[in-house]
Amino acid sequence: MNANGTNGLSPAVRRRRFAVRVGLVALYFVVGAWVMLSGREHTLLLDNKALADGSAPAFRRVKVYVDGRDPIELYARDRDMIKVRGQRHRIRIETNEAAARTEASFTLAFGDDMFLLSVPAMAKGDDGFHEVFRTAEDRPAPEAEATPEPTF
Amino acid sequence: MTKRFDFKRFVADNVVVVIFLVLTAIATPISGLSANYIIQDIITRIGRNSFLVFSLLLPVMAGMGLNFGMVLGAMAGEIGLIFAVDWGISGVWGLGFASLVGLPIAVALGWLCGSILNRAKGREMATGYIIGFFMDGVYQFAVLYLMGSLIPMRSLAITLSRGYGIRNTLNLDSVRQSLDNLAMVKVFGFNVPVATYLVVAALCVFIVWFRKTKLGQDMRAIGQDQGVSNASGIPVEKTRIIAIVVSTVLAMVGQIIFLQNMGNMATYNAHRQTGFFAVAAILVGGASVTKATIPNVFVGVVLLHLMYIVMPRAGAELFGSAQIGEYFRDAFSYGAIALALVLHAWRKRRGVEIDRAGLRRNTVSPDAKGGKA
Repeated sequence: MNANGTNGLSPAVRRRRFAVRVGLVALYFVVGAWVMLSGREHTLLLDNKALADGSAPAFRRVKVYVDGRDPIELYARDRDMIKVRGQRHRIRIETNEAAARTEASFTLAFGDDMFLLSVPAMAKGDDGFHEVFRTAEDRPAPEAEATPEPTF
Repeated sequence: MTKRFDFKRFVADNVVVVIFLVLTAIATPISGLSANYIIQDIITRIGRNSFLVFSLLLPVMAGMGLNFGMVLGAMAGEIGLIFAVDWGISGVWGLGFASLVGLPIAVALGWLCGSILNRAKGREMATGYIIGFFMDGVYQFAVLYLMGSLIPMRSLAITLSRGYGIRNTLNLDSVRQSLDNLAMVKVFGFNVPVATYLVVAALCVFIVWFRKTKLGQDMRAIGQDQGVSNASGIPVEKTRIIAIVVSTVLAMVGQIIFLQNMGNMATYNAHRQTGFFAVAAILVGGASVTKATIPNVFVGVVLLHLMYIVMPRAGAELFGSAQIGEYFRDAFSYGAIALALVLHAWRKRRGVEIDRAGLRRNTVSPDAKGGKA
């Protein structure tokens, strides 16, 4: 390396090298983001229970297809679990009972692990037919928040 | 001119391979394992281990001996997998994500290792081994104390109950055998993980191509004579660092492939034996400290793992305890490394003595000069 640290390279070559390096770093982050978004796994709880307000009853028998996979058969008050990858998904149901909607697309938030998807709500036409599901482990323990200060 | 085959010389040159062949040839029938079982296990183990062993080739080419510092790459791969599990990135995507996270860590560690090895020329193997131990301490500090406290972790399932630090065993269910199962093909009744084999084949092609590049030629020149290489304008130290960086990155990917096949990870121990097993495999395959080729990798992985498969059962059949077979297995693996290193030192000394004797004859004997004085 020479005294001014240019390694004897012309400014054009140095500029090109710098551009290639910046491009590689940018590519690294783009590929990283793409892999992260595409490979994020979520747990989906498929719920066939009547809605709490009584506006939609549970199906006696319904077949649920998520992203064109093998169907999951649910009976009244059944709940099943599947793992899905990525954020955008498609759900389709097959049933002999009345349903206002049999097919829908939905998007899951990247940051949440588990979602509860209500099949009757989806069939009724509700937009918010899926919600984040938190397990007891995920919720902050109330006693942990109210830990008393040591007195001695 | 055709050379006559010298059996004694062949055995002397391949003594480690011959010893392992004889051992496994004796132990295989005693173990009572079926050929189908052994072949299936060997097919799985080639896919699982060969990438790791390949990471040793470039440093040998650059005259740096067997890179025991490859455990640094293994640690980088494990850190990548911890984040892949923590973020819930599953399947092959998870392996890609782990590789991307591990990449800068492996490059940094490889650069550090290469810089240290440049200051310990001629003692690279011992230095690399000790760097591995040193970095193991740093890794434990990072994973046991920093993860969950300074480095945010999302998943409660992988952190210790105290709130920080990673559990002793990490369940890799989300990425388990994702590469192997990507294209599992049944050939003659055996399950062949084609995708994993394709990755290994791509690495073979890369190594063959790399040897022909300017950088590859520089590494070979440095491996033969550093002084001459330096005099001819090759940046010796920089090239040696690159060899270690590439080796560390390959070890990182190799460890990810290894662990996805296993399906779980001993967070604090998984990398410790990585260097030892890879070095044992390549030496058993007939490589030496100064010369290693692609066939050495495959022969070594097959022979070493054939022994790993049959020895415990042979021990159980012979002595009524599989544990004795395990002891044999460990003893012979360490023995292979020791024997290869001793043979290398002996051959080197013998070469020097032959050269010296030749020089002495040239000086003393006028006949040797090609004529009488």
